[in-house]
Amino acid sequence: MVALTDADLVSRAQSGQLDAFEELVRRHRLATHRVALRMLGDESDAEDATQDAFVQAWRNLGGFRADAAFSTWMYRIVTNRCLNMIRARRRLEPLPDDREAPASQPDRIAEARWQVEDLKQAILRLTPEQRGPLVLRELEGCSYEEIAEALDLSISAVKSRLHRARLELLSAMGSWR
Amino acid sequence: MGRGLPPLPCGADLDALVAQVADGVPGDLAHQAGCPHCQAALAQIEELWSLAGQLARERVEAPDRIDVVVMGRIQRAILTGKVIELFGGLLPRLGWALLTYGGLVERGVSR
Repeated sequence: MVALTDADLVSRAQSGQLDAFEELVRRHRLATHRVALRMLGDESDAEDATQDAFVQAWRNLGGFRADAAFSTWMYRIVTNRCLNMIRARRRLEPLPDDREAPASQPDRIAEARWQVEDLKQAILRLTPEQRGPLVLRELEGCSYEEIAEALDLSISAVKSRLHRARLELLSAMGSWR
Repeated sequence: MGRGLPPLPCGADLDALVAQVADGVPGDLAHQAGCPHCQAALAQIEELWSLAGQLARERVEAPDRIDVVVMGRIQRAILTGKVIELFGGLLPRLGWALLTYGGLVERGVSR
């Protein structure tokens, strides 16, 4: 099973081989979960979104185009699932203002972690439409073309949303005044 | 591109500096070499993108149970589909038979 490509596995799964689909789940579980976690900011919700995304992928496997990458397709499904969850809950975690900054210089590592946590919160404060492109581009390293395909947008729309997301982050993080 | 951040005092477009750091778009290096505003802005943008890089590299664990739960849900869906396929045609007929029988019994009772 290890030597098979994703396309081989998809083809086998489309013919009803469950073990082929199980291997696809294993291969893409981490990336799918990572996107869900960055989109939703909550482990439990991310796990639900990941599971739902794979079950939906199985249901829609017949419509999967052989020329597309399975990974991009999974990005699309999980991002849509996350957007639906965000719209359903419509709550954003506030930036934890009550945290204390690291007190001493030896806490530089803690400070760096603190800043990364702030960045996570700032990402969660982006609009869902901005968050998807930003997560896929800056955290998953997707190309503009992949993001456009995953989010069913034109490349110019991806660039526009990403541009706004980046500027929002800069403002939110206080990197630019 | 929608609303952007104001230009720097030197007139440089901050959006272009962001694109330079984030996408590797070539910038006006000659100007930037002698411009404290651009240098300060670039340093701040680079700091933020460095944080984004740290976040991208942060180790994320996907629970192993995801595989088990997903495959369990799929197997149950397949089984449910087979059961519906098997009995789907039978149930309406059974329902109709029960209604008919009920009607006959009711008529018998009323007589």
